[in-house]
Amino acid sequence: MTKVFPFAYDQRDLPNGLRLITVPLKFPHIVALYIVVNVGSRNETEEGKSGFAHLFEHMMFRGTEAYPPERYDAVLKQAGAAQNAYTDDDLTAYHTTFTREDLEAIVAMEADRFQNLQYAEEAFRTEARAVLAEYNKDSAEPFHLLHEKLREAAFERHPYQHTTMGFLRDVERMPELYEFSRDFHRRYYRPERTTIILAGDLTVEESRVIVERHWGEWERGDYEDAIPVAPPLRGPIDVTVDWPSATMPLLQIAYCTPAYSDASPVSASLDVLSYLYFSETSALYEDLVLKEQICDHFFGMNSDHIDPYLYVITARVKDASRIDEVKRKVAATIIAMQTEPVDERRLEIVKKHLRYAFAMRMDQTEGIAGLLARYVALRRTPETINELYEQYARVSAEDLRRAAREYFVEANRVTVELRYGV
Amino acid sequence: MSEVLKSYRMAVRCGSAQDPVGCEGLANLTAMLMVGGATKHRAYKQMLDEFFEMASGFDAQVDQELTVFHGTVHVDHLARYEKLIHEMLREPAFAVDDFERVREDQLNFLRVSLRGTNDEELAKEVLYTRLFEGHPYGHHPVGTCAGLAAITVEDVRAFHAEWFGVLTLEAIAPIALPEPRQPVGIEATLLDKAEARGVAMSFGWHIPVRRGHADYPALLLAQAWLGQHRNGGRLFDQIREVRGLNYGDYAYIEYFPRGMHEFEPDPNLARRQQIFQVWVRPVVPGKAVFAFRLALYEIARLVDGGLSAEDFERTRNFLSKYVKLLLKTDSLVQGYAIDSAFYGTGEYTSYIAEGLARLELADVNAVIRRYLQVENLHLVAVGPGIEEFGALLKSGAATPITYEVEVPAEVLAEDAVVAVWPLRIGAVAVWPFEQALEG
Repeated sequence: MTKVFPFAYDQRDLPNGLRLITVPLKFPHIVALYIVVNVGSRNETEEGKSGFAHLFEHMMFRGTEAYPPERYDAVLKQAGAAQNAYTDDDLTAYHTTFTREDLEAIVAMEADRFQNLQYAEEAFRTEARAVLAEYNKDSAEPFHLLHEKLREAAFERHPYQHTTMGFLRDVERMPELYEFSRDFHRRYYRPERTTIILAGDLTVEESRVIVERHWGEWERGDYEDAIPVAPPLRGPIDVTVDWPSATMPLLQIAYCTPAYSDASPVSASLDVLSYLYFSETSALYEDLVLKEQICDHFFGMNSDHIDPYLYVITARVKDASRIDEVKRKVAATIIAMQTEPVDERRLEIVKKHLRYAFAMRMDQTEGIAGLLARYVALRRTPETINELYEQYARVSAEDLRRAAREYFVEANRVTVELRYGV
Repeated sequence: MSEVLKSYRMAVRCGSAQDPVGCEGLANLTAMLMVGGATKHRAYKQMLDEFFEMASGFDAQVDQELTVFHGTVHVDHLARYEKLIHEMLREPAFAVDDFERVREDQLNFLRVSLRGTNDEELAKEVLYTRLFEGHPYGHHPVGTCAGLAAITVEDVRAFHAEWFGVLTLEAIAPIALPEPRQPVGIEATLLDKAEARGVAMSFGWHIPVRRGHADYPALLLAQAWLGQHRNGGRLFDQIREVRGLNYGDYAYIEYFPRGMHEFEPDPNLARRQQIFQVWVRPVVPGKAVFAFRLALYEIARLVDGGLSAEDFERTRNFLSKYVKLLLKTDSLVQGYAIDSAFYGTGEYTSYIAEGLARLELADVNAVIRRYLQVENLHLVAVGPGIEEFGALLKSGAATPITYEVEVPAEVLAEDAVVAVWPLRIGAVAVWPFEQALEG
C-alpha cells in the first residue's frame, strides 16, 4: 500500500536525545516550526498541582536574559511571524510560521528560551492570574463544565481526571507554587522529551545544521515519571450536572478505551466505528438530527491518548424530556454494533473517506506540521501515521465487532448530562 | 496550494443588510438551507453521503453585504462535486422539514451558542447592533430571534429567486447605506448575567476608513501596534502581561467575528462601513471598570504621544511580512481576491505592502489623531453585578485596584491616573442578557 503521508521526511536524534523531523515541502517561502514537548496534564500527578503543563505554556513567553519578552516579541514582529502554543493531555506544542529567510533567527531564539527560561516570582504570580482569567473565560461554555465532570467520574487515580486547565481549586492557588514551577521546567523541558518539526521551504541539511548549532548543547534530563495506572472503570456511572441558566441539555455517554496503538487494529477500529455509527452519515444521526430533530449536535469519537482514555458520544438535546430517548437510541445502536454484520460497502466508503480526508489536509505547510505534531506526541515519529492508515485499510467487520463487544459495555460506561434546573 | 485539490468560491453582493424588516435572518437562513438541505434531486441525507465519500463539503457564509459559497474537493471527484454544488445553488428544494431544522439551528445559535455560552462574542455582536441601530447593519447576520420566528419557507424561496440567481459580485448593485449615528459621550449597553465569572467588554465607534481608503494602511498599522488576537500588542502587554487583569485585549478596524477561535480573520466579511473596536476579555467584576479605563488610557496616550519611530518601523515590518502568511490555501487566495474586488483594491498582499511602504511616521500619527479618540463611543459589557458596574461608570468614582504581587512603582503611578480617568457617560441601558438578539 502507498504510504498515506505523501512527503519524504528526515528523522534524526541528536546525542542529547532531541529529535528533529524535517519535511521539505514545495510550497514556496513558508516554514512552519513545531516544538512538541512530551508533557501535558498526564504528567501532573501530584496532589494540588494540576494545570501546571498549561501554566508552563504561558510561562514560556516570559523571556530569558538574552531575549526578554520585549526583545523576543521584537524578533517575531521583525519576522512577521505568526506564533502560538497549546497544551493537551499528552503534549505541549509551540508553533511559529514564518518566511524562510528568518529560519535561523527563529530557531535560535526558540532554543534560547527552552534552555534558558528565566522569570521572577512576580511575573509567575501575574501569569498565574492570567490563567485563572482564562479559566473564567472558558467557564461561560457549558461543555467545559460537562467535560470536567466526565473526567472526574471516569478516572479515579489517573491525571486524565482533570482537564488541561486543571482543577479550579488548583488554578486558584497556583500563584503560591513558584518553586514548584521551576522544578517543573527542570523535569520536563528536556531534549529527550522534545521533538522539533520543521516543515516547508527548506532542506534537510540546513535544518540539521541550524538545529544542531542551537539545540545541541541542551542538557539531557533524568526525571522519571510515575504516572499511575488507572484502575478499571467501575461503571456504569451516571452523573447529572446543574447549569445555572437556561441552556440546551448536553449529554455525553463515554466508554473507557485502550491507549493509542498503531500496532493493533483497536484504535483504527474505534475510529471506523465512529464513522459508521455516529457520524453525519450514520443512521442514528439521520434519526436524531435530520428526521426526529431531537438533537442539533450529535457525534461520537475516540480520542488518541498515550494512556487509556475515553470514547465519547456527545449529543446536544433540544428538550430535556427527550434525553432518555436519546440514551435508548444510543444503547440500541451499540447493540447493533455488537451483533449485526457491518455492510461491507459502507465499510469501504469509510476507508475511502479516511484516505481522501487525509489527502485534503496536505495542502498547506502549517497544517501539515500541525497534524504531524499530534501524532508525534503519541509515538514521536511521523511513521505512526502511515501505520495507523494501514490499520484502517485492514480493519475488518470482525475487528469492528470485537472492539464494540469489548469496550462498549456497561461496566465501562460513564454518562454525564447537563441541564438547567436539575 | 495543492495540485490535487480544487477550490470553489462564489460571492454575491447580498447579505443580512438586505433582510426585509420583520424577517431579520432571511439571507442567512436561505444560504444555510441551500448548503444544509435537500435539492430537487436528492434528500439532504444523500447529499451528506455523497460529500462524505469524497471527504468534502460545501459551505456558506453570510455577512451584512456579502454571501459566499465555498468548498474544496480532491481532483478525483471534480465532476461529481460540481454536479452536487450546482444542484445546491440552482435547485434547492427548500423542503419544510429541512427548513424547520435549519431555522431552529439558527435560533439556537443566537440563543444558546452566542447569548448563552459566549459572553465575549455576545458583547462584540451587541456592540455592532447598537452602533448600527436603525441601519441595514442593525442586526446580527444570523438575524434576530423574532425575525427568524416570522420567516416562512415561502419567504426563503422568494429570497433565493430574487437575490441568489446569479452568483457573481457584479450581479447586484450595492444598496444605499445611510450614515450611522456616532455615539455621544460614552454610551453603554450592559447585559446582566449573574452566573458569569467575569465581565466581557467590547467598545467602539464608527470610522470612515475601509480597505481602499487613503488612510487604511496607516490605521491598520496603528491597530496592529495596539494588537490583534494572538499577536500581542500594547493593550495585551499593559492589561494582561503587566497587570494580569485578563487573558487578552485587542483592537480591530474591520469586523472579525469568532475571534476567540481563529488566529486570522475569515475573508469575505467585507463591509463598506466599519468601526474601530476594542475587545477586552473577561475581567473579574471588581476590576472591570479599571480595565475599561486602562484601555481608554492607552488609546488616549497613543493619540497624544503618537507612535515612536522605532515602533512605527517595527510594526510596519511585521505587517509587511505577516500579510504574506494569510493566503495559505487556494481557497483563501480566492476569498481575498473577492474582497479586493469588493473594495476596488489590487491584490491584497501587494496592496498592503505598497501602502505600508509609502507611509511616513508623521502620516500614521496624523491618522491616529484623526480617527482614534476616547470621548464618544459605545461600550457593551456582559457579566455579573452589572448594575453596580453601571452605577460605578455613571458616578465617575475612582476605581483603584490592588495586586497580590509587588508591582513596579511606575505601574502604580500610572494606575493612579487610570483609576480616576474621566468618563463622560452618555445614555446607559441595562438589560437582562436574555433580551439581547431577540429583535
